Amino acid sequence: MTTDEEAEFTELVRRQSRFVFRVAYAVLLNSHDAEDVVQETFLKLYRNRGWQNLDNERAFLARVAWRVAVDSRSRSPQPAGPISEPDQAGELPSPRPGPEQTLLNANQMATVHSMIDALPEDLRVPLALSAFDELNSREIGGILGIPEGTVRTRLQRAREMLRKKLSALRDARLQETRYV
Amino acid sequence: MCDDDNLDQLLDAALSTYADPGPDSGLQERVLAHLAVARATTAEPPISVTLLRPGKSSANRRRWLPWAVALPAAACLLLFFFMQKTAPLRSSRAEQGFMQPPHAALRTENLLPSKSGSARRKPLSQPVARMTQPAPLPKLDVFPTPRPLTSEEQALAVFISHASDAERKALIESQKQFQAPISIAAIRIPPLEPLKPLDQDTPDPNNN
Repeated sequence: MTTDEEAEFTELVRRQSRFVFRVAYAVLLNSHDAEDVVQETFLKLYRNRGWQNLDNERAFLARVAWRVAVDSRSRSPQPAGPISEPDQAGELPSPRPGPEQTLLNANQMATVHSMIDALPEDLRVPLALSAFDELNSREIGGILGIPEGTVRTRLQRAREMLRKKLSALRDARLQETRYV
Repeated sequence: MCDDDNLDQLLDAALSTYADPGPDSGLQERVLAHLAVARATTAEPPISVTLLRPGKSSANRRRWLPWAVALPAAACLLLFFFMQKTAPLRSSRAEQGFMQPPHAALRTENLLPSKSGSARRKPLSQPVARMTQPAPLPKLDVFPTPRPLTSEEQALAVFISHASDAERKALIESQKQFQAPISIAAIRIPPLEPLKPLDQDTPDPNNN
């Protein structure tokens, strides 16, 4: 690999490593495992030289990272189990603080993140990909190997579930404040 | 309605930061450092590693791929032909072993030159003896097995077919004579007379 190519690859890593991490985290729900997947993904790209002359860099990277993450999860001895709901506080395998604490701290973002973590994987991954740099449904379908219509349906279902949970949480919080 | 809009805004905001490690997490530096280490360790890989490891040198792999397929195939073909050639040889040897009587087989084995004690013991082992044992012969209706006439017997048969009755009788008589017991007359041997002294019988030549 020439010096120019090395520089180009380094720039690619700087530009896209956060994006790759987010894709990996959406699958694995673990920061350390996600970082391992980022390193493995870029190492594969470096060895294959498959990163040169890409039409859609983000879609390609997302597909590679998703594949590596799924393979990594199948290899790992502890598969990701079902995630508890945010109202069943503090038992999430997430690096963020538990839902009760986040609710008490009025950290709404962390609460929503916990709710996203608790979604089923077939809903969570398309939702996360749709949020990252505005990948459209066709690109997400290409990454996950599912039809575009299925992606749209899953996105709607995921958003609907999150809305319901958020409204229920907000109502509970209002009642708490009323009684207090 | 206003609440729904707020929820959507909250969702979009949360999704935009979902799983984002942040710009100051040092992720890029860690990934680059890991890549540098991996590059350093795989700078000059041996050819075996290049062949086995996927993706490092796809051109090299593609160059070696036909050989990787062709060599085992050629080895298999050679083995097949070798086995085809040796199979008839082995079967003929086995047949020879069955045709040889057991004592002959053992004798030839014992005559084989042996360099060590273990080599000497080997021919006497069970499998070899078992291989040289002949198959049991089939049982015959007539015993002993009829054999062709000898030249003397053939000559006798021809003589009997052409001879007259008198000649046949004479032959039978002569055969009877041979078959009759031989009687030998008792031999009488008289006892020897005692020897006379030489002085009494023989006259003195000086007296005359």
